[in-house]
Order: sequence, then C-alpha cells, then structure tokens
Amino acid sequence: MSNIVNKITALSAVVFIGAVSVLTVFLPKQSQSQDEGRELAKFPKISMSALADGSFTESLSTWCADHFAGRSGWTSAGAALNSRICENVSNGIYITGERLLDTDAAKRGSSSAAADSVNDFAENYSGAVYMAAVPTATGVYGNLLPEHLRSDTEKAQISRFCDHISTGVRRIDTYTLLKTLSDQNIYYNTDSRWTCYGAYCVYRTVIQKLGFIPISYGRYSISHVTDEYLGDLYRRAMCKRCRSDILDVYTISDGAEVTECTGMDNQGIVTEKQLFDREAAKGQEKYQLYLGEPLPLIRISTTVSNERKLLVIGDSFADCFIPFLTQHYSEIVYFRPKYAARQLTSFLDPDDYEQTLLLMGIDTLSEGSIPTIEKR
Amino acid sequence: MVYSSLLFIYGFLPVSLAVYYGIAEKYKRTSLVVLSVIFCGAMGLRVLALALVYLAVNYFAGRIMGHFRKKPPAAAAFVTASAFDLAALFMMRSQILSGLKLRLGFGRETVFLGFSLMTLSALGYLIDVWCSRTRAEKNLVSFGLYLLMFPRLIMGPIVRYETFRKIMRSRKADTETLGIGITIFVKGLAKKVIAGDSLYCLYQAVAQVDPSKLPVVSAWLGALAYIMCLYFTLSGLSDMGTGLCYCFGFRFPQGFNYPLFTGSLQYFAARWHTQVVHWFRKFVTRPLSSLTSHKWLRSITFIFSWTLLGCWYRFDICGAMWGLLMGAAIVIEKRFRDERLMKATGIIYTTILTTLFAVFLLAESPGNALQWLFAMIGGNRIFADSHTIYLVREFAVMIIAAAYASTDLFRKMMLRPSGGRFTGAVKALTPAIVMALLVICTAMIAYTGVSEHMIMRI
Repeated sequence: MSNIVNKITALSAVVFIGAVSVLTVFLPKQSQSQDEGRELAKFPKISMSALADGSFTESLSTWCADHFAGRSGWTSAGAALNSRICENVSNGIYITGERLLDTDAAKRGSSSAAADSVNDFAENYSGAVYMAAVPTATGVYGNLLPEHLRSDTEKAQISRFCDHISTGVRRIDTYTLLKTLSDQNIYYNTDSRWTCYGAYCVYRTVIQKLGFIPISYGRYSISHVTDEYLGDLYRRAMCKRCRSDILDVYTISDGAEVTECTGMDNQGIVTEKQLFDREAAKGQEKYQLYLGEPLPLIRISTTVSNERKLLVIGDSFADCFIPFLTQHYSEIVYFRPKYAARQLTSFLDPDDYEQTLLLMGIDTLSEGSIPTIEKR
Repeated sequence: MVYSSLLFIYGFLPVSLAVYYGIAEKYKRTSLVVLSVIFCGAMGLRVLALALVYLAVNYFAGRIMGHFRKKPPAAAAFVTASAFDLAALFMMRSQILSGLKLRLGFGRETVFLGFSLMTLSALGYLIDVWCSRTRAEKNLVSFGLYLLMFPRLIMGPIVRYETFRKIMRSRKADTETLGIGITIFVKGLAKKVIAGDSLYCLYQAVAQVDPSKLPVVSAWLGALAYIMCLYFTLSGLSDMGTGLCYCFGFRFPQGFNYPLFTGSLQYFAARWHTQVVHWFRKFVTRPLSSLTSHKWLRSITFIFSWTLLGCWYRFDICGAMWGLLMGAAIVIEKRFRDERLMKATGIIYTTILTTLFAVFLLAESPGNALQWLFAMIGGNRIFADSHTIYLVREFAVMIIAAAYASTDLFRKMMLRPSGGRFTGAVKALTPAIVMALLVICTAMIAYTGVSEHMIMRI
C-alpha cells in the first residue's frame, strides 16, 4: 500500500508544482498590483556584479514572488493563516479589532535628512514657512499595539524631526491635537492616513496659524462617496476580515468656489483637474477621489478676492486637506515631491507665494531627504 | 537561494527533477553535479569560486594521500588541506573578518551553514583517507557530489565518505523514491515555515523586552520558544535536504530524531543533530579518549568535544558555554543517574536544563545571557505582566501544537501494532496531507517569496 501511496504523492506533487511553475512563467505579467497598490518587481538585469554577490538571485526571488501565479489568493490565504497560527500580525500589519496598524513604524530611518531639506528650502525662501509633521494611525493608536511592537513612538520621531528644523520654520503640533481626538473618527481603519474629519480637525488649527478664522463644522455638507475604501494597510495585510472605510467629501454651498483647477506633469503638460474626482472613487484607486490621479503640481484658483497665495508642499495627507484651504486663498499651488522628477523651482518661483505650508506624514519624512525642494 | 523559497520550490526544483529524470542514466550523476554548481552559483559567483577551490584542494589532497600512503607527501597534503579547511571555516564563522566576508558576498547565514557542514565532510574524508578507513576518491564527479550536492549543501545530511559511497552505489530514482522524498521535503518545509517561523515571532516578541524588566514566565517562554525554534529550523532544513536527496535517489538517514522533551540529557544528546554529534564523537571524542584510560580525563575529553560542538553552532564564547554546560551536565547525569527518579521526572528535568542552556545560544553576549538567566530565576521580581499574558494568549495553541510535534508520540502511535486501522487511514491520506501542507507553506511564504528566518547567531 505504501508503494502506491508514495507514487500518488509523487504524481500529485509533481503535477501541482509543475502546473504552478508553468502558470507563473507563462501567465501575462502585470507591472502594477491592483490589490496591493504597488509596482511589481521587474525581471532583474543580468550583470557580473549582481551574479558575483548573489543579488541577482535575490532579485529573481522577489520577481518570482511578485509574479507568482495567483499571488493575490496566496497572500490573502497566507495572511489569514499567519494571523491565526501566531499573533495577529500579517506582513508587518497588526490587526486589532477592526483597525490595522503598521508595526514597521518603529523601524523607520532618521528624519534628519528631510529636516535638512526643509531648512534649505526655508533659508532660500522669502516668505513664511509652516511645518506640520503628521503622525500616522500607528502614532495615534500605538497604545493598541502589544509592547514588543512599539519601541520607538511616532511622538518621539516627530519630536526629533522638529528639533532638527531651524527656528525660522514655524512648527504646528498636529500630534497632540490628533491624540486628544483619538476617540473620534479621525483615521481610517484600513489606512495609515487621516479621514476627512481628521484633516478638518487639523485644518482648524493650521488655518489659524496661517492667519484666518476656520470655517465652522456646521457649514459643511458632508456626503459619503463610497463605503468600499480599503487603504494601504489593508493592501499589505491582505486581511479579509477587516471592514472597508467610508470616503467623505466636505463641501460648502455658500462659500468660495473653485474657478480653475489644473495639474501639471513632469513634462510641463497641463490638464484639467477636479477637487473631487468622484469617478475615481468607483475604480481601484479610490483615494484618488481627492484631486484625482497624482501629478507633481496642482494649481487651484478660487473666487476668494483677497489675492492671497499659498504654496503647499505635501504628501497624501495633504490630498484631502487642500479642499479646506480653498475657502481662504485666491490661489493655492500644491507640490508633491513624491511625483516630481524635477525641482520645485522649475515649476514655479516659490517667492511668488507669501506663505508655504509643508504638510507631510512622519513616515514620508523618515524616508530621506526631499531633494526637489532644495536649492540646487 | 534557500529551499524554503518559491524560487526554489517552483523554479529550481521542477527544472532539476525534469533534467535528472529526463537524462540518460549514465549522465545522471554529472547532471546533478552541474545542477549543484548552478545552485551554488546562485548564492553568488564568489561563493561558487570558494566552493570549487574547496573541492579542488580536498580532491587533490585525497589523491596525493591515496597515492603516497602515509609518506611525507601524503602528510604534507593532509596537513595543508586540513589547515585550508579549518582556515576557511574560521574565516566563515569568525567575526574578525566580517567586513571582508560582507565585501566578498559571504554575508548570508545559509552560506555559513553550508560551508560549516562542507568542512566537516571534507575533514572527515581527509582523516578517513589518512587512516586508510576509506579509499581516496579518484572520480571527480563522485567527490563533487559528496561535497557540493545541492540537496546536502545547506544542512546536510552529512555522512562519512564510505557511507556516502554505499548510498551512491545503491542510488535508485523512481516514482516511489520521489514520493518518499517529497513527503520528507514537505515535512521539513512545514517544520521550518509553520512551526519555526511562528516560534521565531514568539522568541522575538520576548527578546524585544529589556532583560532587566523581563518577567519569569516571559523569560522561560522566550528561551523555550528559542530552543524549539532552533530545533524546527535546523531539523526542517535537514529534512528538506534529506527529502531532496531521496527525490534524486540517494537514501540518506534523517538528521534529528525527536530530541526535545526526552527522558534524559543523554537521550537528547543521542537524538540532537545526530550526524554532526556523531562526527564530533568519531573525530574528536574517541581519538582523544583513546589517549587515556583515566575516567575523569575521558569525561573532560567528552566535555571538550561538546564545547567544540557548541562553537560549531555559535562561534563565540556563548556557543562554547552552551557546549560546555551540555557536556558537563551529561557527564554528571551519567555518573549520578537514578533510574527511578529519571522515570518520574526525566522529561521535566531535561526540558528545564535544555531551556536554561539555550539562553547561551540566544543571548547577544555572556552578560546578556546572565541577565536572562537572572530573569528566569525571578531575579527581576516580576512573575508575569500584561505582555506575558498577551504572549500566552496569542501563542499558547502554537506552543502546545509545536511541543507535540517535536515529540515522537505520533510516530509511536503509527508504529503501534494495535493501531492497524488508524495507521492505515493516515497512510492512505498521506498524499492529501502532503499536498495540504505544501499549499499552506506556499501561502505562508507567498508575500515575500521566502522563509529565511535563521534562528542561529552565526
């Protein structure tokens, strides 16, 4: 009997391994993963140095994992298995109740290089610079993490960053504010970023620092655009038992209106944009509801007649924050270093704007310098 | 490339099997050498170059020793090749040349492990040829297979050359052997991916805590998780190697024989990494013991051999301490063993001692080990805290399941004469169990494509 059993084992394993291998090699390759919202690895280039130190095999292994047949199903099943077999951590994401938290936050690098870039920008700029370093969901809800996963808090990371920026830059403390509001719906459950309401709470403080009176909450009409939003943490954790989030839009019927909203890509081509791209919310990249497909520069003109101009340098935290500013400025320019292939000064002259607001998550600030805002 | 990666399981392995089973019988061994060279080259061409130099030095030293038979050229070849092997091992394992190693691309643990085992194989071969216990191998393909065969390259199995020669002669690759090989390989993969990696998470969760604030329960939990993780990782790799050897028709013995939770330290020693322990017994303990008839000197020799074994696992003072303590404890146990007491308390006493000694393998330094031991005996005056409760809650099922899997209870049940029906049902379900484990392991490594947590501090 064992003879037959061994033969069946051999045949079934060979057929299974062979089929998966063939499918992995011959199935059409995607460059982008819709489920994980990231670029997939390209087939590694063969070079002597890569072959000599073995890095070619490592890259090939990554390529193999990224383009593995049925990757999405495998990773979802793997996440479910991992979180059931040991603790509730899946691919570096801790699953607590319905909220997901990034456990890699403690392993982030230093933000001093980003602080140097901010200092460099401020030194060569004639207007006032305001800096708001924003905590991610892990920073605000870090107390939900088990002890061994919270070694370096985002509070400390933000504090170190603020210590490093020069005195000429006016700091805005978002951490304390968001922490005190942590029992409210200020962060998505499946994303590291704040909700529209979280952005509004910070806007009230920021706009006062910029010299305006904030619009009261009651004047906004809030509409739920989609309740199927699954954020960046979900895409990493692949945890099917999490509930999707709601994406909101805050509008004012009797307020200032946007007269023009355009975007510019790295080639200088200008396209029409919208503050809220409701079509995007129906697709895979639902977060593009705010300002649409990401471009390095967005220019917004409004009916506000105070001739005040604001330059905003930010990351995805700023995407849903920008619409709140449109009630106070005639012109807002939003620069996104992540998508810019050339210097900010090649798009515009920052000195044309009397105020600059830098609004970035501490995760972005820990990724290194921001060369596109430095003077070259 | 490690065995527990998608690239190996769904890339290199099927291609290797297709080549090996598709080629004519007379070219099979050569094809396996070529595949092994490609596998070694995948770790880096520099690693391959060193492996080929290793092969050449030991092959030609063996030839010279075989030709001159204990004459001066044979002695010179023996000394030179042994010195080369030991120097290469020292370079691989010592921290002194760590910068150079990283520059040369020897920074990965699997490379260290592979070369450490290769050195034991090569040294054993040289000693056996010198002592005329085996003939010097003239066939470069056979010798190449002995040192470089890719299923043995990371964690063995290691055997003496004479045994290897017999296994090679009786090599038989067919569907049945392939089935046995795949079963053993998947068992090893499951040990590494399901048990080893989960226990690694538990050990890491405890290791993050400041040792001066470590509660008693956490410290014991961390040390127990470490020794179990070490067992599942090493035996998993060893089983994967043995299984792959079966797939290519080489029937090697398995490397671990359920050493944890045994009734005495002597049983632990006899079942832990049997081939490596056997190597040290054969080439270190016995030759040194034969020099003296004094019982206490033989005991010291035994302890010295275990200290060397400890250094083989971890090339520093902590590794030596682990070996020293294990060796000394086994000697004491042999001397004062009380059969009735051992029957009643053997498992508890063995588990306590192996867990305590494991602290020397897991700690960053001897000071850190003492801090950890201090926490284990309640020196921090904290029995358990909320973190301990969290760890017990999250990992309790895993620890109990892993503890059961690390004993031979299931095997005994399968071998029980009265268990005919049950045994038959389990055997009949083997293909389904193997496939289920393969699917589970694939899912668990799918995100990164590899499971490469190595618990050993190389």
